[in-house]
This record gives sequence, C-alpha cells and structure tokens, in this order.
Amino acid sequence: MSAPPFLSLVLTGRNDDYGGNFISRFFRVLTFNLELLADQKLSAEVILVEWCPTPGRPLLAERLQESLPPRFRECVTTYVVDGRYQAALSLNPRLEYLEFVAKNVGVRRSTGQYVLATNTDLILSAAMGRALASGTLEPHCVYRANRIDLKLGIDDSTLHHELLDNPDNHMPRRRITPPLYAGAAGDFILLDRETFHRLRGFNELYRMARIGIDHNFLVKAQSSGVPITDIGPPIYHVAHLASYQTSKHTASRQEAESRWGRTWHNHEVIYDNREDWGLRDAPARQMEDGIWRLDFDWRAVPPLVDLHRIVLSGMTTAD
Amino acid sequence: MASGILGRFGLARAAHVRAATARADKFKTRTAALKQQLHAALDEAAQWKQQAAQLNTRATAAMHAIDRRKGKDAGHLDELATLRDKFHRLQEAEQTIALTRGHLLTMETKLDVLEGAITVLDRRTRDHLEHGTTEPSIEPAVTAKPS
Repeated sequence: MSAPPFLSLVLTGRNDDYGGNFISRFFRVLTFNLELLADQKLSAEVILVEWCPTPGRPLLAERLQESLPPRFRECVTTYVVDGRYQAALSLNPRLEYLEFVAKNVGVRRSTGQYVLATNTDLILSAAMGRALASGTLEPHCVYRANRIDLKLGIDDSTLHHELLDNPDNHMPRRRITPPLYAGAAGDFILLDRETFHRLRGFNELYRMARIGIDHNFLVKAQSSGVPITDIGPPIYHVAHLASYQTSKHTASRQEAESRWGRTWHNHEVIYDNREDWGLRDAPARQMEDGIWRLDFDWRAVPPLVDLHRIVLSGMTTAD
Repeated sequence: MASGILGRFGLARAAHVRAATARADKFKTRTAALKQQLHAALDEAAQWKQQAAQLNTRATAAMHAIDRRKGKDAGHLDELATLRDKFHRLQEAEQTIALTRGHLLTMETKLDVLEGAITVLDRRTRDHLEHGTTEPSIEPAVTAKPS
C-alpha cells in the first residue's frame, strides 16, 4: 500500500460552462498547480467532486482524464455524485449547487496528510509552493491565504509566474485579518486531514445557502479551539463574469439566490454535522480508473431537519 | 612665717592678693558668660514654646480636617460601592443580552431550516400528487458552480 500523499486538493465542479470557458480555465489552472507542486517534489492527489452532472453533457471527469498531461492523470480521483442528491438535500429549491456538501464528499474521501479545500479557478503562487514544501505546516491549525484577483480580461491563456506576480495585473482587495482571516475562505482552507475530519467538514445542516458556509467553517474551527492563521504567500484568482466578486452587485435578487442562496447568521450560529457527513453511505461504484460514481440511496441522505445540531458558536455539542 | 605675721594685722602678701584678684576676675568673666548663655537659652526656649503652640494649633486643625475628610470619604466609598455594583449588573446584563441575541439568531436559523424543509416537502407532495413520483428529480441544466 503506497504512502498517503502530502496534500489532497479538494475541488468541485461540473461540465456546465460556468463563467464561460470553464473547462479550459479549470484544466489550465489544475495543470499549473500540479506542475508547481511537482516542482517542489510534493506528493499530491486531486479529489474532484463532480456534483450532479448536467444531463446530456459529457462528464467533466472524462474530459479531465482526456485533457490532463498523462503524468498527472493518476493523481486525480473524481467522484461523480448522482444528481438526485442535490434535490434530496436541498432546503432551498432556488439554490442550484450545494457546493460545500460537494466539498465534504471530497474531504471525506481524501487521503492526504493535509487537505486543501479550494476552487477550480484558484492558482497557487510560487511562494505558496515553497511554503507548502517548507515542512513548517503544523497539524491542528487552519491555514488561510490572501487571494489576489487578476484583472478581468488579462491574457491568462498561458499561466506563468511573471504574469501572476506582476502587480499591474492585480485588482485591489482587502487583506485577511485575525482572528478568523475570513474573506473568500472557500478558496483556500488548508488543514490536516485528521482535524478536518474531527470538525466533520463544512456545515451540512444549513443547506439554504452557499454564501457564508466557508466563513461558518472558520467560526466552527475557532469555536472548537482550532487556531487559524495566514500562511503568508497569496493565491491568485482569475476573475470571470460569473464570479461572486464580479457579479454580486449586478445579479438580480433571484439570480443571487440561485447562485449563492440567502444571507444568514453564519458568523454566530454553527453546526455539529452527523457522523455520516460527506455522503459517507452513498454507494460508490468504479466507472473507470480514477472515476467513481456515488449512486443515489436514500439511506445516505441526512434528515431534512436536524435542529439540535444547529448550535450557538462556542456551544458545540459532542456526540 | 611672714604671711602669718601679716595675717595678724589683716594684711596679705602682695602675691596672694594678685592671685586672688585674678581668680575673682576669672569668676566674674565666667559668670557673665554663663549669664549670657542663660539668656540665650531662655530666648530659645521661648521660641520653641511658641513653635510648639503653633504646631499644636495646626495639629488640632489637621485633626478636625481628618475628621471632616473621614466623613466625606465614607460617603465616597458608599458611592463607589454603588457604582461598582451597577457596573457588575451592567456587565451581567450585557452578557445576558449577547447570549439572548445568540439564542435568537440560532432560533432564526432553525426557523429558516424549518421553512426550507416545509417548502421542499410541499414541492415533493405536489410532485407526488401530480406525477406520482417519490424520487427526487434531477434539476434541469443550470449554470451555477462555485468560484
């Protein structure tokens, strides 16, 4: 049995052309990140959760296996989640993508020593590669990173560090600050797998929104005595028309609710996920090398309502 | 012998007289000096007495002032104790408000979840009644992926 990788990159997406040119953007970013990690001689796996694939379109997993350089294909495992889970789990019919339940599916099945929950359009900086390889990461600590947004319209057809590190290509953005180092937290949450599992991943009880679930994880971590810190180096984000930063002020109320859900008390109220978080009991079936399908089974679906697990921050109950 | 004969006639030798006179003069000088010292000591004593009287007056005044201050301080201490008590009660009230607010937010969140569940169940019921299905449907193609 091979040793577990140092890092698990947990991503979620599907072949729906989100934000335009989704697939080419995603593949370019993923290849860049994997090359960066390989340069630093860091072993890594990619856990891609293809949440509720769009009917009638090829699977993102298949496209990825075709497009990725052969040397990286082995380190990618995709879990294709049956579309019925979205409908069975959702508490907000307008919300179309339960992003953090999807990420939990990946976190649950990751095997790395450290797990980085991130997004498909997030690029690791060279300094981040060095920081990850420095051997200074501590377990029982949530690492956050400042996100630098690259200007909309820059030529990102070929990614290279000169392009990324050039301040002329950056959009101004507020830096993350203590105690939570919040702000686009869903783009970079890194911690050891054991602690991630002990915290039972992201909130699966408030399935009304995507927005704020990442922040809520930080509140949960802090409330559980897990320190949060800024890892130092930044990450880069290629701006696109559908991103939250770009469209939060222009989207209609209905559009906003379908993309992100409604705002809620994510700074104060936390959660205590069930033992079977991350669709633990969803039957897994291997479709081909590196591609698994999580079939639908009502037994894997948590109850619609589990109110005693919604708790005030600092008062998390233990099983 | 000679002094004995002179003594019978009430006379003394000149040397004795000169010595006695010198001793008398010395005693006179000494007496005068002592008198002067006595006067100076008396003056000093009078000054000390005056100072003592002044200090006594001031001490009495200070005692009165202390008594007055004690009365005032007792009032201030009472006031301080009251303020401290109020401050503690205020802190407790703030904590209670924060906790109550937290519970209200938790209740609101739970109500959100309940509302969501009711909406979903309502949809499922309607779907079941209309189409006879109990399986959750796959949502139509949508454009929403995290960023």
